[in-house]
Amino acid sequence: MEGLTLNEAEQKCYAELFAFCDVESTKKLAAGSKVAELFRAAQLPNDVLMQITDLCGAKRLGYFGRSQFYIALKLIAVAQAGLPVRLESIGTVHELPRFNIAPSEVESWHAVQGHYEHEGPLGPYGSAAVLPPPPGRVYNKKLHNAQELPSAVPATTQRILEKQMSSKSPPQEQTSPTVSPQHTPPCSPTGWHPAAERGQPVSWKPFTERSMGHGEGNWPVGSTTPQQDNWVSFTNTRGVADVDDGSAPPAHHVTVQSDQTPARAATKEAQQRMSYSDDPWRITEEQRDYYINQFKTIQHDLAGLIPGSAAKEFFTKSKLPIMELSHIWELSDFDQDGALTLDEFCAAFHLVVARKNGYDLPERLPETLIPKLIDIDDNDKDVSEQHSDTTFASSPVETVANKSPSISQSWVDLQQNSEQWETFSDRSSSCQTLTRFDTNITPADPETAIVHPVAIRMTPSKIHLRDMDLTGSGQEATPPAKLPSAPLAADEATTPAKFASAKNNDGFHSSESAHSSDVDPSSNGSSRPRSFSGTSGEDSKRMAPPPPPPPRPHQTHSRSSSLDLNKAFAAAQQGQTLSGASAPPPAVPPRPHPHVLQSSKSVDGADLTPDPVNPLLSSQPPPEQPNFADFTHFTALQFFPEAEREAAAKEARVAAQNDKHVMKVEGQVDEQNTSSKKPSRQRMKSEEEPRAEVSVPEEHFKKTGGIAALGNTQPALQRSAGKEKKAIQASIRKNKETNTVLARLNTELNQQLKDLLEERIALEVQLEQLRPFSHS
Amino acid sequence: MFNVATGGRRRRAFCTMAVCVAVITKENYPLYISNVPAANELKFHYTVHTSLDVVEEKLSAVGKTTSDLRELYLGLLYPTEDYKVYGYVANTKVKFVIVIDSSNTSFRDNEIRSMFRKLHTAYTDVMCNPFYTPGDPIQSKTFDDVISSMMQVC
Repeated sequence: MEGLTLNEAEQKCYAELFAFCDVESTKKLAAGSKVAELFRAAQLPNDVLMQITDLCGAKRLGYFGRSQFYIALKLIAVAQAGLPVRLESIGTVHELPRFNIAPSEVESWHAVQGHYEHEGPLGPYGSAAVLPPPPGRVYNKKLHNAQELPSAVPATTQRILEKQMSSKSPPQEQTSPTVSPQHTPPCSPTGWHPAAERGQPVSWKPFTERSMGHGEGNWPVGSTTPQQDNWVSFTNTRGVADVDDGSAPPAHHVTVQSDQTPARAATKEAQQRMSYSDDPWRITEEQRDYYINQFKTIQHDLAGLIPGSAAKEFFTKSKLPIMELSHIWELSDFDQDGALTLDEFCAAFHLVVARKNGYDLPERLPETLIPKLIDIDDNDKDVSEQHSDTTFASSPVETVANKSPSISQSWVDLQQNSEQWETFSDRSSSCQTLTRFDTNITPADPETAIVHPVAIRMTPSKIHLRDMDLTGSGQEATPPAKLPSAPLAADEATTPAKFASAKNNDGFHSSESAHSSDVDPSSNGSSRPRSFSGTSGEDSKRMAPPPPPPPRPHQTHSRSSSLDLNKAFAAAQQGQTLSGASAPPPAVPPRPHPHVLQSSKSVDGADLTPDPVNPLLSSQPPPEQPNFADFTHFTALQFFPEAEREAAAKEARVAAQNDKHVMKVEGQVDEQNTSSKKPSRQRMKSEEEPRAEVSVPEEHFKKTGGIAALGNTQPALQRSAGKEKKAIQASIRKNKETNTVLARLNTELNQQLKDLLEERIALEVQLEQLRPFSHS
Repeated sequence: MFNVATGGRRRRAFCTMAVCVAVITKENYPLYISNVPAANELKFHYTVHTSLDVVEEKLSAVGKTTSDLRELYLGLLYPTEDYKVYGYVANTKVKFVIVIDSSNTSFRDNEIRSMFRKLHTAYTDVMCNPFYTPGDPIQSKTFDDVISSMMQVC
């Protein structure tokens, strides 16, 4: 036999069970009535039971020895936990197996175990047997309280219960199927009597009953339970021991202190039964009907809204503390409009019920409670929900468990995404984030017929629902009037409609921000247009003048300006003799170069621009090349006055290019935006000019040389005569143009210099600020 | 039951590092102040209090020009050596103050604005809750979550 390690609780439980079954005290359990009954009470399919008996070796032996019995019990626990029944799984499951103990068994159990002081006849065993998934730690508390019972046995089972509860907390969903409602909802309040008598799993007993049996100890934290007792009296007939509250509904009768308590008792019980096996956050048919009836008492129109004040009064009757009611409101008012639609109301009601029953309020609204759109097919939704409810009840819980975590996970992801998104949209184009968001949602969507993964609060709800592929839920169909719609938001409203269904507000917001870049999506995914859209508009106006383009890296930087430069470069290369720095890879011209390299390569002594130009010329990447080439050409020209006309033309071009070059150089030094425009301008100019003249010895190219050449054209002009005068005049004109251009360049460069100096000062100030101060 | 702790929400690499967030009513008493845990609370309370003067000053200045019914982003109220204080006033004269650590890379104006928007949205949500009476200290968990998300340090 496989080594079987049982922890203390299991040990005790199994020992008790063994003793229970071992009526003859032979230490061997025949595969007879008791064992069979017990195994059947585990509510596993027969074949699983057969498998278990095979595995544990009882078949082999013909009877259940202690170890076989224990193994069988373990396997039952494994099976109930949803794991495949294997001997290897034994080690993984440490929960106790659950059994629905038949009344006779219970009573015999009583006999075996002696008395127990738990409140009903069924006592803890019944509870232990039928433990529904406990919702939270509150139950442990209750158990602790219940544990004050003196009897050792009950204490054991209490501890077992506790253990079960705590262990069950995580795999809640998984455990519920085994305790599926086995009974049709009985209608009479008296039917509540000990499950033992009815053979029903006494899963939940109303809270109040417990309290009646036990006093205050078992009450969940924070509830004003004693009052609830009185309030809910109709079902409080007996102390049916129940530890569970696996389902919220049990107490849901507790909630609203409306009217007709006795009449509702039956309904509530029925509801309780039905919802027993369900996720506590799931609203069953009966519950929903009840909620709808309650809704009608406040608001006749089922598609309408309950205003906040009315809802407040209504829920205040439940005598929950205001803080909790406030929290419930926050959870359930899905679209945050200050009013409750039918679905929101049901969710809120359900939460109140759950809270009354001791469930802790969740941090976020459980998916099953997420309200659906009402304006679209309210009936259909109800039907689908009912359908889903009933199917849920019957379907294996594992799927639900799988779905729910995935939904919640996707919801969490969406929440996260929403947060990410909102920050992201501040910075960049929101459209991209939109698409990213879509892909996140879709996987989670389809498999659940129940809930959509995303909390959406968008005004054009109908449109969204159409888009959305939901069967069970959807967005809140908040009437647009309800939302304080700002004009901006109204505009945006249509755009979000285009977005895929489970689009969070962030989609909405991103579109908004795409427009205004001001609207901040709320972390709740609420894209509710706010009254401050006006400001957004204002802000957008303020923002209308586009911010200055980011400072372009050095003009010579070939990457960003590569197009132009490459063209120039290519053109330059056509005929071309590049300068010595031939075809170096485009590299970011290092800034210090201009200041560092003080080249002495001034060609003709003419020094139009400071030295920075020179080193750049020599060290610059190819972008400079064409200019260099032109320069040399230009400079060469001055030495070859004969080709004057051409030279003049070339000079003009070269000068222009020189300007460009100067621009680039200066821009490189300054890294100013403004200069970026100039080079492009210059570039354009230069590009326009024919590049044929590039073929020039490139040794001399310096700006200074170029400028010097300019000056030198004058003597050249003087030397010319006759028919060349025209050419000279043309060249004069061009030189003048160049002069003006250069003058402009000069002013701009000066401006850049000023800006730079200002920047420098600002940076220095910042530096001062950043330096830690000695005081405080 | 999905008790996804709000703390479990992952934040992106980008996170605002507000050190302190405060909501102050029209009557200039605080509805909500919260600090990054490690901080010296009293100091921040004092800072927020002193910033109120600046807020009032700015408000009165703007008030003369236009009766601006929209909300006002007041921008940097004043910088100190350690941190910067930003202000924002809603049209109901509810003031929001955010204190940001100076050592963080300077936040773009947009980011601060978005933080204020988030704040305002969360505040409005709290207001919409019928169980909340205006003038009470804000005890909403959701609001707390929003705030703590803003104050999370990455």
